[in-house]
Amino acid sequence: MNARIIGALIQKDLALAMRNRFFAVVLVLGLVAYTAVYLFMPSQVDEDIDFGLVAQLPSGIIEQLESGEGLRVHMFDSADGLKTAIEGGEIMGGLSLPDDFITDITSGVPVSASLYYSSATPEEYRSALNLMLSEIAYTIAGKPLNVVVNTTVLGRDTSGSPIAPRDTLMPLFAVFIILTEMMSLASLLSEEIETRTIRALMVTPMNIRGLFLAKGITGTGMAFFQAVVFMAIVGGLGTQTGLVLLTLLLGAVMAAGIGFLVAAAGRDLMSVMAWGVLFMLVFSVPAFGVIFPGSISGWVQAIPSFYLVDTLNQAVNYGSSWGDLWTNLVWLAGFNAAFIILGMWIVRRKLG
Amino acid sequence: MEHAIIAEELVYSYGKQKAVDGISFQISQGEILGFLGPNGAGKSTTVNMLTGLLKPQGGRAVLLGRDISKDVDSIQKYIGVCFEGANLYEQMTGEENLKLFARLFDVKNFDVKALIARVGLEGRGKDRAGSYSKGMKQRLMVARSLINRPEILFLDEPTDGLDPASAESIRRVIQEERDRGATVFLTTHDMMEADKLSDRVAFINQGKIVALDTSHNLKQQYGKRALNIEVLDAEGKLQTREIILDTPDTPSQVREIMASEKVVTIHSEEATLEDIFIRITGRGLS
Repeated sequence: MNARIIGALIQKDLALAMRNRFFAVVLVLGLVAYTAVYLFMPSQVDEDIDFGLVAQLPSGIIEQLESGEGLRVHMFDSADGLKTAIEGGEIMGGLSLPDDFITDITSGVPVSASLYYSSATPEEYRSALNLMLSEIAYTIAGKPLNVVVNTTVLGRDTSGSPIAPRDTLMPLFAVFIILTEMMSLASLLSEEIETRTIRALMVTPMNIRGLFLAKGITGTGMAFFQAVVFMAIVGGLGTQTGLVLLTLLLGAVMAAGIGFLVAAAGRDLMSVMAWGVLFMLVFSVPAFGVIFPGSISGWVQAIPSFYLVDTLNQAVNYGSSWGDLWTNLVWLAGFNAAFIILGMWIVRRKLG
Repeated sequence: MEHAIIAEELVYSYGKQKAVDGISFQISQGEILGFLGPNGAGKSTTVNMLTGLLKPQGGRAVLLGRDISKDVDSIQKYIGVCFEGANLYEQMTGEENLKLFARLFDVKNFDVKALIARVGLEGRGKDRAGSYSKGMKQRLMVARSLINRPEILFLDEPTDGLDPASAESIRRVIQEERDRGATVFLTTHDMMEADKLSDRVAFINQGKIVALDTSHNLKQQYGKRALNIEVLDAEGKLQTREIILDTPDTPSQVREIMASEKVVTIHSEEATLEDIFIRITGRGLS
């Protein structure tokens, strides 16, 4: 298979993709919309602290605490309720005080309290929560007291800089852009099968390997290009650039592999859309774990896009390095190989 | 004369349905073979095996001295295929369609305008193929099959459903290709076309070749020759008399009619390929 044939097919596919008004509009609008949404979202972190509390305190103490700047206290009946709220992203942290807290404080006995953080709780918030505990004790007893704090971090401990909401969404948008391109490739291939132009190609010196290579390069290239443009515009390439680019490339290869599967499953544009949306929905699930820290359960790691989202999120928002994320990349590459091989096998069977 | 195509006991089944059932034939270089059969007889499956789209499940096909199953990539450089039904890139112009395939075949100094003109599409080359009429699409498909100046040309129902002018222009191109030295494998169920163009015709029915010879020989072997004579009877009405030729009584029968009746017209009659196909298989081509 020579480069001339591959080049001719890629050029043809790019021309056809651009002449397909539906996909051309969807792709351009998608890129513009995701970028616009990112740019319009607040770039600053909300400084108010939503603080959970499990305690039986004298009246007036809560109001006294909330009168301070930027504090909202949410009362819970149990430590389990507090933890659920933190894991669900309702609040970032909270305190659970024992039932005999007031008695022990006032009698001078050292007491212990449980402090819970979300994995996404920034360091400043954690300090504020510790301060809050001291404040409560001081308010009750009138002097600083000996309180032993047991700290529990819920979910992955990603302590560090606060992440702006739009930066939290950045990896999600990049993944959406990549997956949208998957539908474009699937449509191109499906149309080739539906209109039987593929038969005309198959009686030229081009063989099936060349066809898959050309389609794979086209799909990967289009997805990668758009994702890189997006990340460049929103500043997602500022840290760990090489790692982010490789991750986007692996994501684009994944989109191409899934595109083969969707093309084999779909018989026309509508069925391609239906299958494509199904894949997009499933593959978007891990991304919501980034938006709502702590909401991800272990099973989400079975969805291949988890490794794409997680790697992007860790690299872009937390500056994680190659050493931290190499296992993700290996998983991603493994899933890619599986998708590509499976997709090619199914399309080949469909061609008869 | 060397054989451009040798098919030996080709077999192909779709599940339990045997589409091609052990067919064998040879086609000489520069020959046009009309491959006739009704829908579902196995014509397209045969073409698919000969062009490398399907791998024979039994037997072998040798094109230009090479086994298609083992050497498909190199053989496909030398063949041209025009499929039944349009399969063009309709979002691309006629010229773009042809240029794409010229690149795939690595044709140097490809003159797209000359090829467009050859199939009668002058002035429409820069229009999108999707805007073409059925006849224009078919002509573009024929042009596409000629891009690499193929040594073997496979044409699957090239004039099916076309207006007479389009059909005639395609037939003219086929004859030009034969004159150039190309071997033509013409799949059709139009017996008139096959009769007109083919050096030999093969009848395929239920996956088997049931007859293979020149039209003339098939007519000699299976058809009847006759004279149709229209005469006026005593009441002035037209009557038709049929006299079978090639019998000992033929001369006397002709003399008797000429002497005793008022002859209006005399026509000779030959069996058509369709007549012969029906006689051999018991079913029609359509």
